[in-house]
Amino acid sequence: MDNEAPNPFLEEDQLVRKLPDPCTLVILGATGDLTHRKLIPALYNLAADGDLPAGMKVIGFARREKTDEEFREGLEELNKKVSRQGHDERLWENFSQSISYHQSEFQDQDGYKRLADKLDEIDANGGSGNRLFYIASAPEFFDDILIHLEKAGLNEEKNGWSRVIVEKPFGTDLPTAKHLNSVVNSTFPEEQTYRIDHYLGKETAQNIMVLRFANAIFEPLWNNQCIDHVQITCAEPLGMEGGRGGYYDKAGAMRDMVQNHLLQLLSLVAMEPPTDLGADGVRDEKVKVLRSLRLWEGSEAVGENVIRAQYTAGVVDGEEKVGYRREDRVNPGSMTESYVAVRCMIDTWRWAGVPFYIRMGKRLPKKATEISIHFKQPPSVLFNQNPDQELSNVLVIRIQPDEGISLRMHSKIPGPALRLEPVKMDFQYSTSFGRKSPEAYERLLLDAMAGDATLFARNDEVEQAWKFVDEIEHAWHKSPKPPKMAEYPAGSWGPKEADQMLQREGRAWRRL
Amino acid sequence: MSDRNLSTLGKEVPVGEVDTELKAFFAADAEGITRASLMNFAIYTEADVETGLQNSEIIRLLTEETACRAILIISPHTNDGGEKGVRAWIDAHCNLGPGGKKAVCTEQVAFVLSGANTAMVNNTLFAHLDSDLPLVFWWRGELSPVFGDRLYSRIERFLFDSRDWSSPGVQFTRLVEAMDDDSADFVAHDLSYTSGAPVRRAIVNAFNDPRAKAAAPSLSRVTITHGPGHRMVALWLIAWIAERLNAELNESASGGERFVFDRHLSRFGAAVQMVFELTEAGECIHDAAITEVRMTDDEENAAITVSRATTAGFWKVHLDVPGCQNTVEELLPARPRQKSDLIAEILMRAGKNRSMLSVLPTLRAMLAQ
Repeated sequence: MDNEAPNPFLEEDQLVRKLPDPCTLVILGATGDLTHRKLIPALYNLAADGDLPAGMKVIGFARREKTDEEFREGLEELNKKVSRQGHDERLWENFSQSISYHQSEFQDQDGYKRLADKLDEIDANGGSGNRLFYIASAPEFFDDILIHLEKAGLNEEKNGWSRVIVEKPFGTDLPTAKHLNSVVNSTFPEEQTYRIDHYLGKETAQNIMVLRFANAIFEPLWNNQCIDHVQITCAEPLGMEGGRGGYYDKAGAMRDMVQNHLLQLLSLVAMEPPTDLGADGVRDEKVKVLRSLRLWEGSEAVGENVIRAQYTAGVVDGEEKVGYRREDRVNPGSMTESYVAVRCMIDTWRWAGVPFYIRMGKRLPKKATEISIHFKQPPSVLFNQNPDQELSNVLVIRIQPDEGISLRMHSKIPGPALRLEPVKMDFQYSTSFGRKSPEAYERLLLDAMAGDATLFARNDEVEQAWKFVDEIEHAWHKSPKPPKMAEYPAGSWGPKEADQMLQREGRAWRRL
Repeated sequence: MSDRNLSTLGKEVPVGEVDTELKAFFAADAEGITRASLMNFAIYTEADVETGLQNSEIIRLLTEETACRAILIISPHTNDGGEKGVRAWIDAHCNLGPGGKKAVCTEQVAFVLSGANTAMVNNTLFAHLDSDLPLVFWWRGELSPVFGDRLYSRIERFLFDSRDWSSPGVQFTRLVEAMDDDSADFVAHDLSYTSGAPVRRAIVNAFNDPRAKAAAPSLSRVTITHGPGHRMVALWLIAWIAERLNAELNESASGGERFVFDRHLSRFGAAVQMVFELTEAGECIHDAAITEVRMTDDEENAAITVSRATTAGFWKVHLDVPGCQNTVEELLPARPRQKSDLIAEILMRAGKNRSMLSVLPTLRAMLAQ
């Protein structure tokens, strides 16, 4: 099939991204939660929107014995619950016919050989020849899967392209991340490798670049002359429900969220304008931010600039919750943090002296992920001669839930007195655009099929992020005098030590 | 407490879906109503539910002028143990906007907690604040262990009424300790102090007259008549007058309803004593906490009286001082002083409430008597 010939019916539109190519998507680890809750519903909704390329096929690759029908039934059950646009029986009937199941152990070479035969058969019957391998298994199987894909020749681009999507975690520290990158890149070249960070697929995360570079009013202010500090928060009321304790206790907040999602958001906020919107144009600038992050080396520096904590017993949404160490599958003596707050400094001309405070915590009162840009106070000349009044403007980008952007300004309250109070100019996706935003995975899968890696992490991005995190992890777990583990009651906004870290500099966490 | 009574709080919703339900409410009539909010206004009470429900009416009155997300938390028997639970209700207080086109609505979220502990109260509040807006917190009743740093470190304005306290001296000590905490940055407002604002204004007004000003150094007796239940308002007034006149409490000479202050009229002169006496009236006049303030010298040659007029909504200022050929009487309008009015007055002002803070040490010394 000639994939290079233009579609004669397509009207060129500079606002439309590159069209996705039809392909066969192989999900390795297909019986897991990710496939059922995210990947298949994403594909279904793409189909519902008419965005899924014709001829798309999906093969679920996993260890359990299942028939195609059993696999489809399990997928349909979850799709009914989580699909963004609801579940249409006729559409599902049509869509599900493109889904099949392939049973094999991840270490069984014969299973990959049979997979290769299956893919060749699909291609012989009108398939596109393009293959997209989505590694959705537990991280301990990544090496095996990649090696076996290579041995079966599935990484070769014969009649089309061959790409791999890797889910986080990309390693557990810098050495393992480098190892994983080398294994991946020995099987698939970097330009065919897509490391998913689903936060980058969220509409509001994509909107950060638009906000900054498509609106002339913001960029002149986006520097240390006008910005006092930046806060990035990811708060979750959830704890270790659904048996998460086993995985989480080996990871912790720093590795699970900060190393990937939050540092990605930080780099989008702090990056220089790219020279173009190509994948490497954008990612080059993001990597520069990560390279400019000041490393906190040693127990003392880490203790002053990073707060780790575990939740103790408390109350969330009216229900009593146990402390972290008493959660199911968590080691009672665990030293894994369920909360982390980091003071980041970016040593560039633009950001010198501007702290970026990032925090992530489980069992906090609300679910909220947001970025807040806190501008400097105006000069004390006119309305703010009262030194007690805090008059800084705050631009807030809400990533989830309730996606949107708001700007806090000060306004005179109607009346005879000159009384200033904060007011919010608020833009909400849900009420501004009518239709619900596509889920992150919908965007990302389409981009992977289209060969657009802009919203995926590059190998050097991953490694630079690990370099920053590794110093902190080393101070926590390997230094003779590690910084202490603080505590906070479940349902509260985190440990006092995190508040004090900002208070020392005359600042405070934004109220969410 | 019957569900019929609780239905006055609005529509009951699952506690985890308050924000979703509020959004749905406003989305249902997006053309006809608009949401307004300048602050989070929380009322917390550990009284019984029936008493707690009365706060809903105060919110309704307050929101006629003040746009806010009102959060009412009724938590009887906090920290007493017992089966735990939270119930939630949403409501909106709507007024027709300018031009009569859209109604402007403010949200009310109410919670009734059973068997609550400090953590549950904090989480209920924190999980339902409107982000990025200041938190004004009105604590009704005695301060309890719930008043801890995890709570007050998040508050911008803290309102209370010392008339509700059985041991104001102890409670003020707790309050001051909290204010001195590094994590605290709230501005404290006592509704008892705010209640006395009209009297203070009337006194200021009285002493604008040069003849009254001339008589000021000779004033040595002050009699304050207050309504039943308003003794704290009178104590605040004494403390304020004393502070303005640079007088210090003479603890050994004071006792009961008699407070003696030493006034230093000059740097080198001896202190002059100033005696304050409190009297409780049989009833309030037009809901006024203070009925009369009478300031005289030893021989009653000078008398400055501020009193609440019995027949109409006025404060009367009466000067009978040397240099006056006739007595001078002035009338000042008296505004309504319901709780909602006091709170609206507090919310109208910015700043650190320095007037009250400067008088607080004197008040505490008096309470220690």
